[in-house]
Amino acid sequence: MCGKCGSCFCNASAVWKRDFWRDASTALIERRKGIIDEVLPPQFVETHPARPVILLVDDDKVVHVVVPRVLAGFHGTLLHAYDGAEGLLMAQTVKPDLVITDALLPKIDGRQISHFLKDSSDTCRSKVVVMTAVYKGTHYKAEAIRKFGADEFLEKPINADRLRLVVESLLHVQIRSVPQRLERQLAAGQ
Amino acid sequence: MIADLRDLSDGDEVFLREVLAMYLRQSNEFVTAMRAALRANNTDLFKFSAHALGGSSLQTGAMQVANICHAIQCSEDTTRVALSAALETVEFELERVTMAVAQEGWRATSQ
Repeated sequence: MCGKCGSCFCNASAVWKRDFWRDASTALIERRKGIIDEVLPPQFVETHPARPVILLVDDDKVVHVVVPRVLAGFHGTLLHAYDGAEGLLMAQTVKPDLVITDALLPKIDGRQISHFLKDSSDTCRSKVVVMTAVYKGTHYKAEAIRKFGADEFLEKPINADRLRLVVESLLHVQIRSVPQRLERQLAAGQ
Repeated sequence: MIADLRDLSDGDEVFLREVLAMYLRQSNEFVTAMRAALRANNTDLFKFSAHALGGSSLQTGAMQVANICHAIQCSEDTTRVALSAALETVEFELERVTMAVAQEGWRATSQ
């Protein structure tokens, strides 16, 4: 049985998979849950994650180093997914408070992730931010919001202040910009 | 080249080196994927890998590489010769980035 989709139809379209699982038997869904437990980080199976939860979906590993740095003052849980299929699966299971996703991703497009999450009563409360380095301008922002239900649209490269502001606004939290040098000095007892 | 990252790092050279090392390692993977796509005559995969490399370069501040990758994505010339030449240019620019990073590393340790 496939560790990614809980079955063996990884190449099927996301719509097909969604419809398949909507109509699936309880036994099959239970069987799938066991697979998801293996795919997801242990903290989401054994305990409740500290809320709010942010899920970052991007195939660029640099982004997975930069974003935690930008959100260093965020008190919650930051999860990482590296392609669209993994991101959608984690989002559907964990139901994060916020999904920050790249637009163009392997396997499932980030805008489709937004569409699927907003289309389901189970996940529609998750806020979604779509990021892109390609589609720039108000036209694409409007399209991402109107057509795919995204709550916000950010252009790459990531602007630290803008990202903090968007996260603060969508999650109603305050993220202080951590003065890293000072933090290091404090940690070192200087 | 890495002014924004320097701002974000707030003088944390460890973070800066981590990002740059990640970028260079990942870039090599994207170039390998582009080479494989070229061999397989898979233009879509070639352009997708160029997009991924371009996005990462933009984030890191390697603007020349980002610009070439953007040009690859926009180009309608998808002949093997054109893609091969584009890939060579990407590799040349990445070599320059590697040298610049090495120089930055030397500066950081010499301060």
